[in-house]
Amino acid sequence: MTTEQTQIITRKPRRLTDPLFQLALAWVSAVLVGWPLIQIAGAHGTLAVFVYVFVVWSGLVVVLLAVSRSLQGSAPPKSSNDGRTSERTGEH
Amino acid sequence: MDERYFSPFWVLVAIVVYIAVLLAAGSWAERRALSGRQGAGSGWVYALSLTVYCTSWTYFGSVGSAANSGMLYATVYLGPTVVMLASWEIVRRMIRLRQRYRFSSVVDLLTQRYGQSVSMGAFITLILLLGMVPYIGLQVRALLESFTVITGLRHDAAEVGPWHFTDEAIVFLIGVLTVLFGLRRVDTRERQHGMLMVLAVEAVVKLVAFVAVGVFVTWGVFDGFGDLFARIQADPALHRGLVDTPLSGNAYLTWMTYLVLSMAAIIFLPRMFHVMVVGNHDERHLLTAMWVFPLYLLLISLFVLPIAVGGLLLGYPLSSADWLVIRLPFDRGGPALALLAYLGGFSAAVGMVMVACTTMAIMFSNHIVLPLIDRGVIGERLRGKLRPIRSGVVFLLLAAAYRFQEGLANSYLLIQMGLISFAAVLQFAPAGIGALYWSRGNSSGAWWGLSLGWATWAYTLFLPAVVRSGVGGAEWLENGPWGLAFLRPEMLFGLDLGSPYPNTVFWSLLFNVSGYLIGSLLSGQRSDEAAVAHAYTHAFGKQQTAEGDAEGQLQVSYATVREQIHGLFSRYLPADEAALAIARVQRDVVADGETSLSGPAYLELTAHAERTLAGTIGAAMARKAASEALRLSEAETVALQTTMAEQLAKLKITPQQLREQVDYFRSLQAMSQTYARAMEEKVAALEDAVRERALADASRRESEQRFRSLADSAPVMIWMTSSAYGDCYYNRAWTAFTGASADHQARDGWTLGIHPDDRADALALAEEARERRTGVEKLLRLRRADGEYRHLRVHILPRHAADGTFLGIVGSAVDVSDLLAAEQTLRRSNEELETLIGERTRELQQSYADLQEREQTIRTITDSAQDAVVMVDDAGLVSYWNPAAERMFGWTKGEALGQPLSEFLLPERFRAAHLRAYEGFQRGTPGKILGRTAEMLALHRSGAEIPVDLSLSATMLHGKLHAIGLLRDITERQRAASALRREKAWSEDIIRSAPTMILGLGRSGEIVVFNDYAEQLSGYVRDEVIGKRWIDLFIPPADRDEIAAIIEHAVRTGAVVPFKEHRIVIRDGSERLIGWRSQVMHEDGETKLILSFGVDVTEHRRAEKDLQRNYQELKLLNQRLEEAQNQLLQSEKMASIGQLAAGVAHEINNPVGFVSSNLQTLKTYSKEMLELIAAYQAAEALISDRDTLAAIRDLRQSFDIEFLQEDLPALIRESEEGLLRVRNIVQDLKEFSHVSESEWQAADLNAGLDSTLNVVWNEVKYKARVDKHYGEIPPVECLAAQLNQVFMNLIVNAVQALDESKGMGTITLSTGHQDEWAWVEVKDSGRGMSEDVKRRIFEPFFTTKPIGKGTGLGMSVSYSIVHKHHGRIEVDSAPGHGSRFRVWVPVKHRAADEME
Repeated sequence: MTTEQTQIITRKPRRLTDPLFQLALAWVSAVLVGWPLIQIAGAHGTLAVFVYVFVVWSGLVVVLLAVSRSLQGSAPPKSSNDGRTSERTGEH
Repeated sequence: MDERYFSPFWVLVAIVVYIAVLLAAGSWAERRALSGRQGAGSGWVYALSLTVYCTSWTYFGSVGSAANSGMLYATVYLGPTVVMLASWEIVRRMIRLRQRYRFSSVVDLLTQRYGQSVSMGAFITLILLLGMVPYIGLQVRALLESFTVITGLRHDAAEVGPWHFTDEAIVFLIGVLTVLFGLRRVDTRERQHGMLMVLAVEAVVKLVAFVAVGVFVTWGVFDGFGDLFARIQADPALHRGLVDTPLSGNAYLTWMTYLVLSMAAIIFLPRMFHVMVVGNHDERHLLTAMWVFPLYLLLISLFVLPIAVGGLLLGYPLSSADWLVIRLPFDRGGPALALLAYLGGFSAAVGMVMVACTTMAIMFSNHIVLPLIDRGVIGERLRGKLRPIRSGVVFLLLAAAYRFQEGLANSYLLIQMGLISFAAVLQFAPAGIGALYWSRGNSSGAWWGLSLGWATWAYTLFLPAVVRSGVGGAEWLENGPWGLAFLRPEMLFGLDLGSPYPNTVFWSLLFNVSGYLIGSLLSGQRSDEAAVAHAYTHAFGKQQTAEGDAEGQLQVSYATVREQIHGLFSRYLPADEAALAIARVQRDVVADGETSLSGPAYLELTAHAERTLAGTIGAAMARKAASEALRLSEAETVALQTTMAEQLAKLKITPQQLREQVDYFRSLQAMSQTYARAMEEKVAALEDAVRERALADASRRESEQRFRSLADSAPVMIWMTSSAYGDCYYNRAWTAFTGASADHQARDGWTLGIHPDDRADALALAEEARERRTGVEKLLRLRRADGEYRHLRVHILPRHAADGTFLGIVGSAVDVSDLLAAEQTLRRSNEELETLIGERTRELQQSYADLQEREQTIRTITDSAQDAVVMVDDAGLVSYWNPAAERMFGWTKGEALGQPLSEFLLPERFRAAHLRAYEGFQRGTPGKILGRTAEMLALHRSGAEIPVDLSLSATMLHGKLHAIGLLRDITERQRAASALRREKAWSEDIIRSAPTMILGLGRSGEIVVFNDYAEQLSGYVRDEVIGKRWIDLFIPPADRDEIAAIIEHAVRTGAVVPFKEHRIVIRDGSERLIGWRSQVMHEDGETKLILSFGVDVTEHRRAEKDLQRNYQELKLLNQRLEEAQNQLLQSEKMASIGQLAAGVAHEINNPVGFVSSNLQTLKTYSKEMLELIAAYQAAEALISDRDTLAAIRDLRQSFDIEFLQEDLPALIRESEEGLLRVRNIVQDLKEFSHVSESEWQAADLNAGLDSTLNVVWNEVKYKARVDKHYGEIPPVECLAAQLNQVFMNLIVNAVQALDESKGMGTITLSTGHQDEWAWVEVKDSGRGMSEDVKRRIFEPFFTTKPIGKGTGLGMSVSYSIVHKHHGRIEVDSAPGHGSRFRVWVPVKHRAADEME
């Protein structure tokens, strides 16, 4: 491969595929939809809670979509047609 | 019936049509699956099937919850959304385990992990059953109630008649649907395509229905969200109910509790586990579900609060808020929308009921029914009827749920059952999560945790709910049992959290987690449990399979094993499914044409069979059934043990793997013990048979012969004695064994052949049997025909007559010497093995410690290495992948491990070659690359190819050859090398083609670089000069010493050679002058090369000289030109001044003329007037009139006539003198300017000097005294005006040179002539000049005057004028002694050429 043929490599954010990072995201999202942030939003009435919950929720869906897309490339090959995944697809 | 309501008939038709649609969709999916095609968007089907989470409890109940508690309903959906963020880690792990262990339910997840306990499975199933029946009842209730709402059937009792069994019919239809799709296959490993498709369709219907109702209420009935929320603000009561109350007190504790409950429920609810884990076909579908499922939850939640608020604003009572989803469209919308809303709720309920019933039926059959069959409580013939059993369970569950909701309609328990169920499944969380991540957790801990958790749940939540539903007294709820207030269920230990749910969650989790942890820590794990624990916690690791030596001692007949597996499967599966399962097991494990199995192959086959069966009957039951059905013969068992012992001895594996192998061996041992027990049972059964036969013989002597025949045919030694132990009968087995004749034995008694040491025991045994009147057994030694004493298990049974008379004994014996020997061998093997294992373990522990240390060191090195380190096992799969490899190739360790190296790291065009090379490598023919470093191309995750350096080595691990590759990304290096090559080429091109001479000299002065230009210049070609000394070849002899010294200095000091020009001799013998600029190149601190750049300056220098000469000429020419220009400028200036002066003089001259003329006339007139006045004075005396005379005298006196007569002539005289002076001045001006004289004319220089002096007299008169010493000068042909200008300049300069501080100076003007030359001299008594000033005074613009006082052109112009007259100016001056300027001009003008 010559230098001229070298391509600029676009890397996907690998952090999203890190299991620990996903668990951390879950923890952060639990904080976002839990006490005390809900109570803070609740101090401004139902509409505030309603808006806060659904905004955060939408954000979580977007994050999940991003995580899903990041993981697409790392998923194991599709299993056989009999509905069972091959036992030889283990990782590590 | 109210006309507003739907006809029950048409609603039923709609239901039937809808179910038909579901059936069609499910059947279509099943057919596609059978034909081997995947359903379109199967990931979406999977994702939508997860929405079975949204039951009617959420479809209807969430609106009720929102009406009562505001946004609290959202927690039930937010919890699963949060969990989905971690689903790739947690749920995928479960899916992997399900694939490995063939889970059929969440119960299997726990029982498989915790000792495969059948009792634990039964316990969990019963608890779930307890919680699930009311939950299903809740769904049934929702179905029937919504039917009532839409049809109004209960509102008009008279209409009920024909529709009396509508409820039952609906429930029955659901049961049919469940059986058709949920229980279509017995083996739960088979994906339930139909059921998942049905769930997906239902998901779409309920979402569309709910959103449609939401949109209708929000924008159809009200004016959007803003309007609704504004109305809440405007309605104090509503605001208080929706905002104030839900947010008060411990509301947020409830919020967090619901959140936790829903997070646990999404994983551990049996129906969710069933669709999410068991129903997962491809774990990549989880990636779709990861975001589709939360998005679904968001959309279906969005309109919950608007519907609830809308209903309340429209006046619907809070108690009916659950049915607002139907009520609102029914009352205010169209029938289509109402029917859609109903079908949405129907879908929600049906989906949940289908999956819940399916899972419960599977769990019930596997964990309750089958164990009961095993224990003989239920008939054996039911064992193979799993599908009917499960179908029956489904209908029983539905019936129970139906009855339950009927009995407890609108009860507290039914309403709260959703959350109560959530709290029940929360108890799975500690043991479930611990199973996945904590390898020390064990069955004891799980038992304690689950028991305590559920006990707390039942005490604090379930029982109070039952009581609040009207069952039993409620006093103990308020006061605690036995009046012990601290035991109040809903405020346990006095903790008041405001709601029963936080209370239950807190205490149950506390007890559950504590029990699990303490129980696990205080008790150990069984070996097999530890192995499973390891597998669970390493679910993403490669599965450990029994690896064995194909040449081991054990060879088991595959036909025999297949027969056993067939028998095993046939016990639980229908014939067709059993055959299918066997075929799959055979396909997966056994090679084609295989007739016998090695030990490892046998174990893998049986394990696979067990796992397959686990998919049908659960893990625990499968283990039990397999251990009973799959047995080896005694010899095979011993061979297997020996083989495994040898293999273990040979093992060089990690302790964990060793432990797993030991577990494996122990399982074999257990298997053999089971087999031994089974053999004993058979012997006992045989003995029983013999005994029965002996008794029958005693009572019926006539059948003795027949008995003897029977006894003789038995493979067991049998004898019978009389009451005195004589008169014995021995069967053929006995006589064959002992070798003695029956008669002889009969005479001497049965104890004759007994070992002398055991003979007393034999008699005592017989006595004991007689006394105890029951059979007794003992191990005795009996001499065999060959004289060897063999161990026999002797059983003595007393014979009694009907009246109780002792008739003798019946003995039976089985030679167990071989068995004992086998047991002894086994024991010895065990001991040896234990010893060996102990030693090996210690060695391995030491080795492991060393290895760990080395591994840690190596891992630290490899992890911190900048180069990628990749190890590939014998199958070509990646087994090590360091962080540098992650950075280099973009694949994480988790992604790379276990993957075929060639498929993701090598460009496709190299894969085939790689695989061939790797096969050769595995065959022991390493390629050329081994031990060397080679460049190759690797594939980055993005698809880009990366050049790498590969250093390959090999190592043996676990007896397999592994390849270790050290890869270095050489992209930059290649780029740099390429750039270097390119730059070098450029440099060479530049040097070669440079338009200058480039010469490189080595340390000895030899030529090493000689470019094209040098060739052209010198006439030599490169090959002629390379290597020859520069000095010898090119330097003229005169310059050689100097050049040699320069080269030697540069080589010695490394200093830059200064720019220098020197001559060279070229090929044709001519000399060229070259200008050199040199640079010394160093390498390793010493001079390597003197690189010189030479420019041929021969022509340049020649041109420079020409240029210099031209420059001097030009400079001189320019100077002359400047002088001429200045002169011209001054002439023009003076001409202008002259013209001006001449003009002024001319203008003055005219008035002066007539003034002079008039003055002469005035002089005459005044003379005449004075004479007249004198006459009048004389006649005065003649005047007689005194007054007149007095007046005249006063007048004369006042006019002072006498003074006037004297002064008037004087005035006229002075005026005449003034006019004369004016006339002289004008004349001087005219003479100075000589305006009319532009040609050469003879002039009097003395007159010119005087007129010039007059012109500048004002400058002179106050500063100097002028002494004139004019001599006789002939007229001089000159330009008089210009010479006057010279004189003026000299006089003015003389005046300005005077030192005013010394008073009046002296200026001496002298003239004279000598021969043909006239001279004019101006001398002053001023400051004089220095030599430097004197030398420069004729330079243009040179002045010593202050700025603004002079232009510096006066002397320069004077010089030019004099020069033009071919004269000269002499200067004599010294500082402090004044200056003298003498101007010499020829008397006769001569032309320039004449002068030349």
